[in-house]
Amino acid sequence: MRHASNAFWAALGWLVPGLGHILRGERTKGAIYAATLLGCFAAGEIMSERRAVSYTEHDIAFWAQIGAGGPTLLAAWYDDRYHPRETPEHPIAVPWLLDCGIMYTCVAGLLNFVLVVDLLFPRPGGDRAAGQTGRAAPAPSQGGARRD
Amino acid sequence: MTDMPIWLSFLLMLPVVFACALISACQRHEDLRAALENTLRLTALIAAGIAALSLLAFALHYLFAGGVVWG
Repeated sequence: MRHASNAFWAALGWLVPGLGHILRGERTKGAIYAATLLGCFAAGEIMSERRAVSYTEHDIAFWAQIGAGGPTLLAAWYDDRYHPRETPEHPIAVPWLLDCGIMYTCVAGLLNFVLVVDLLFPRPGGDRAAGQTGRAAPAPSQGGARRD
Repeated sequence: MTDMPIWLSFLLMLPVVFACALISACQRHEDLRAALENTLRLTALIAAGIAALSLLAFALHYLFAGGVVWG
């Protein structure tokens, strides 16, 4: 399964934040990504009383939220299915933290876009490929090994 | 935006800053420990920057526009 294409990992990562990294072998980082982004998304939904994601009410924010594909589609479906629409006869009270909830879900979606790009275009000469510790190698002038 | 106390808006901003710093650090560091250290440093720096700019804005507002509502 680890030999699947980058597009496959990216699609998985888009659907469930962090899942692409977990299944590709980066389990710890994938778990951190999943906890961070799903937690951020869930916090936004809780703050906004499950009204943060709505294509009809917040259409511009939706295009940022859709970066976290699975949760956004699920929340949009829930909103479409269960939330009544506002009419002049039946005004709906706006949740106090609706703006914050929208911001949290947007940030989760935009950060997941970054992770999808990371899955889609892994760095060829990066730390992951070289198996290094993550710090940049010192330059030859600073005592680092020259790579020819 | 909803009217809310300044301390609450600052508090609500912190998790988002932390999430951005964490994803950013994990992208730049392969080593998890280095990434987490970098995350804490970035979060502290950004929070301090926002606090400093807020204080500057409130000070200027106090000096030139007659004060602010601290709520």
